[in-house]
Amino acid sequence: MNNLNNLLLNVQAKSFLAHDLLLYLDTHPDDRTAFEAYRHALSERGEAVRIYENQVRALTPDGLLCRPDFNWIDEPFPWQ
Amino acid sequence: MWIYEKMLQYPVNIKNKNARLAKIIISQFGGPDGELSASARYLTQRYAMPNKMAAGLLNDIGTEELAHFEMIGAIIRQLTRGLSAEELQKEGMADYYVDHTAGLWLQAASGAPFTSTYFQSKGDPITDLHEDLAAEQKARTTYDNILRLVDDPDVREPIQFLRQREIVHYQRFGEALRRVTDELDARNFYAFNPAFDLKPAHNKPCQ
Repeated sequence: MNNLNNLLLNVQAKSFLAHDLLLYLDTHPDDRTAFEAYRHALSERGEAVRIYENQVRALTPDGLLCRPDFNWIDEPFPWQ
Repeated sequence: MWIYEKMLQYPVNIKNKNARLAKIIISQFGGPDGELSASARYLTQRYAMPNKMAAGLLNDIGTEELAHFEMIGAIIRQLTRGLSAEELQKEGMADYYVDHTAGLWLQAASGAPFTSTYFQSKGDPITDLHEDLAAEQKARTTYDNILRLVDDPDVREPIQFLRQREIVHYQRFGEALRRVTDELDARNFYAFNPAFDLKPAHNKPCQ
């Protein structure tokens, strides 16, 4: 249970880093250093998502591709 | 278009029910300076924004505000779920309960319903970006006010995260405003509205 929490937290943390860099790049599109950092953040996030979707459940409907069953409406929903 | 990721941007795990807090925090749900107001403001302004950096920013921040809107909904739900009618009444939420039971409805703490009069989409990039700078500060102040009334660390933590985001958004909108003014007539930023005028008015050929 704790591990599941940590897997989700890992996705949330890596996603947040990528998103914050995205906002910076929106107003600094020519900053190559920032763009490289963003791409690195994206790949870290991708790995975190892969691990989470493998061990827990799909994060987006696209993640259902590798699932044996339709678990998209499984609880808990994020607000529960 | 939007893809939904089945997670909150930042975790919300509230152990103790408290309708008194829910009644206050609901202003960030359906209130004038709340997350949905911010999202609707940015996502409606983006269409007429001629500068691609500002348009991209409005898109991405508008999207992030939807994630914040979801977090606020989660906070309110976790604070009120399972309370009896008597408990809700004791904590000052009887008038909300009678119309919405334990459901979530878009209103401010005062009970005022959500309205698009809470924000503008003026179709002028300078004007709209100033509105956005103000919006982020209004949201930040609202979170300051909420934090003065909240002791529960489970509630304080996501609220502090949301407050920090307002400050970062303010920075980004400031940069976008500078980018937009860089592209305008250096002699007079107000010479024309690049979102509307086909060419600057003062470039009319002499008769």
